[in-house]
Amino acid sequence: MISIITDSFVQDFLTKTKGSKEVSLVIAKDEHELLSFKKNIEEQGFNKSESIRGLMVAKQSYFVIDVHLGKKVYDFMVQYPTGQVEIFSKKLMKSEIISPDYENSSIVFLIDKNVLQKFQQAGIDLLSVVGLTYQS
Amino acid sequence: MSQEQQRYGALGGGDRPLVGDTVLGKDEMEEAEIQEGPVIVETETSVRYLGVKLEKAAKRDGVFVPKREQYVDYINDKELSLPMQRDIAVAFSGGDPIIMEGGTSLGKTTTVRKMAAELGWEVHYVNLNGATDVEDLMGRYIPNPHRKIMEESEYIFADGKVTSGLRQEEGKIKIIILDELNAANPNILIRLHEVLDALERGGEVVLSEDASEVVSVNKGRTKVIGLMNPPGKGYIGREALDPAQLRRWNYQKLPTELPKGTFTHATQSLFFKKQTEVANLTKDKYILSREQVLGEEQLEEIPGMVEIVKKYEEFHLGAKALLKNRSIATDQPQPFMYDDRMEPRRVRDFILRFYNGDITETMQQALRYYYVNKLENEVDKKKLEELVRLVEYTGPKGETKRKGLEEEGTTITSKKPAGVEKRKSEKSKLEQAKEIMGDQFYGPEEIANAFGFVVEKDKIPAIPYSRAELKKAKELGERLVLRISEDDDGKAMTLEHLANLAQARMTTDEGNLLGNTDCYHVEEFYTKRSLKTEWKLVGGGLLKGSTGKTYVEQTKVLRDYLKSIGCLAATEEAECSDGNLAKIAGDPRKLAGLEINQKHRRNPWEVLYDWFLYFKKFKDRDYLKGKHDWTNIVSSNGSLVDVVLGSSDEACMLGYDPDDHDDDLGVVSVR
Repeated sequence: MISIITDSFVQDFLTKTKGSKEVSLVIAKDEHELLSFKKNIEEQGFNKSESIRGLMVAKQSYFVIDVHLGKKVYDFMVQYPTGQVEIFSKKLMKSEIISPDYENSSIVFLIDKNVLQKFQQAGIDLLSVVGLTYQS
Repeated sequence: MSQEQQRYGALGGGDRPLVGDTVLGKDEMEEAEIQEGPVIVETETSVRYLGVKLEKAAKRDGVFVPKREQYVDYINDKELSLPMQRDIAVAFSGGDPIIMEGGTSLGKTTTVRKMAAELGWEVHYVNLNGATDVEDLMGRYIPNPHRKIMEESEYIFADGKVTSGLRQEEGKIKIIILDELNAANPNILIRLHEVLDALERGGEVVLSEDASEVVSVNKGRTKVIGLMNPPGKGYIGREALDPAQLRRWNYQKLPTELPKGTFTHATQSLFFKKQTEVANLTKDKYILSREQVLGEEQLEEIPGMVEIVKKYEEFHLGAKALLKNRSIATDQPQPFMYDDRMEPRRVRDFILRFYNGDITETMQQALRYYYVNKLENEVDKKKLEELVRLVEYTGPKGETKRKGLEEEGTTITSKKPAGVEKRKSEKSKLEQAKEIMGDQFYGPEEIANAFGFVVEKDKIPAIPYSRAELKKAKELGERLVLRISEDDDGKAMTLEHLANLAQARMTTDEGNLLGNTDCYHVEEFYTKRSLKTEWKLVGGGLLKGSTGKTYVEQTKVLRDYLKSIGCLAATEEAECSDGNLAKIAGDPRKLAGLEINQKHRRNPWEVLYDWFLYFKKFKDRDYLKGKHDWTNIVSSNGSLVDVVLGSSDEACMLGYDPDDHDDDLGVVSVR
């Protein structure tokens, strides 16, 4: 199901994300490719994070962007290169402050192209705030 | 060397010290800036960005304060990032809300956070792109997460991000970053502008979200900066702001693209980690903060003010006409105006804070800042610059355009080279000050008389007070004192050295300056801390009403006195409210560390230095005899140190607890 070419490209891409001052984005053209990218990314030693906050826990982590999380993801991405990230919980009305460790971290977001387009249409321009980007 | 005590270059490697490893005094600092060009200068209590001074927060350790280590490879360059920091600092120093509009790759947010890291200021960040909910910003009721029993409230009000930035907390200074401001929904903008209006008034924000709770706000403690990309120009969702709303803001236009020079410089620094040329930042890039802001009544004293204000009015109308006729800013999608009410007020406030002795120069700096900086392209800037150059004070032939006493604090931006002419005028200014202060003047002659050495003229700093300020000081019974950091052999004027010098100058009849000094040698304040070179206005005796009081009560007397004469900074006032003082009443270190006590009480070596000048001038011990001056120094055993001239005519230092009081224990003010 997963082509060898894709494996190699993703692997190459992921090695370049380490130490980046921006987060990286992998765009899957459909749900099927998204699943295969997830597998690839995990095989490269990346931990799946269930929350945006969790991205800062492991040295190599990735997060699958849900259609409901556009604003949260955008806020994180746009702040990440500025040396400090404020994550705000609307439920608890509380801020959490994080200082990125650029040198040792690698943070990758994975998104379905359809979801990305919805965000772009809603004015949430993820492509302008990420660093390395990959799509097959 | 701590990071907080370094002076660092303007290029990459922000923590790389260029010279020295000590905190620089004002004079050293200004001199260094003149000689070495683009530097950001940091002392224990402040940071100067191309001359514009911002005070550090007293409390710098909260989670909202960005970490300095995140910015070690921040790249300063002379075209973009240094002027950006200077321009932000100008707005922050006056508490004005500022909008910076520029392309996405300029590092606007990073720059603000980097400055906050240096200043120990909190950052409260809001990105308005996609935000729809005013309550996220101002606050809302949420289920009480701490509720354990039925009697406790089911819901509690929780601050939003903006409200938490507005709340005043002791020792803290906060920045609210409103990122992507022009992507915000109109209802959010309306609410934010209500907040700005309250900040401008120095009043209160009513939290309609919380049963109309009232939050006191203070623009000295909360700074607001809006950041945005140009509307259109490929940026999705950005709308042009209504110019009528934009007038509330100090609007500054940055380039849409990274300037070529900046790009090259940054790239070189990133790849080669080398310091490229830094010495060619011209002096006109600097704006030097005054040590003391002028009072409005002093504006009339500035030579040429009437003439230059008239020319400014013509300039303002000319600039408006250029804008209206679409001769400038035609390619800028964000419309703006040169507002008839706000711009003159801003220009006036700029002069109060940055007047450097040359009204033409200061006025033109203000016009570049508030008018030219709103323009993006170089052709437009040149058009307006032609008008700026017409705003000058020509004056009668032969008359100096610089204002008497003011000139001394202004060397950075002076177009005139330092030389004979300047020296001549400084000498006359000393004489002017002496004439005003009469026998309350303690300058180079008094130092020579007391200590037996001559202070070289080029080591005498600027007198930072205007004629009006000195006249007022004279009326208040204050003394103008020149303090020096080292003797003629270059030895630091520690208390120990000062005592030895003074003792050597006292005759047998005059006795001793200090009694037994054995117990002082363990104290750092005796052996290591030393005077700074500076002019100070020192009270002529214990402040009225300050005796018989605890340290807190005394601080209140000092606060009220300084306020009554218009010399209490907003940050000082906020920090020493009755409530805050009550909270720290038992903590000598916190009390002594209050800004008001650090700046307006003396320390022991200053007390004895001042006293010795007086004693040698008048051969009289009455000043301070039997009186205790409670200082801002805490001894090694945690006592608040005072200095008293005892019955044996020898001075000694004692330690008191904060809640002690004595009928002869007061405080002498200094400013």
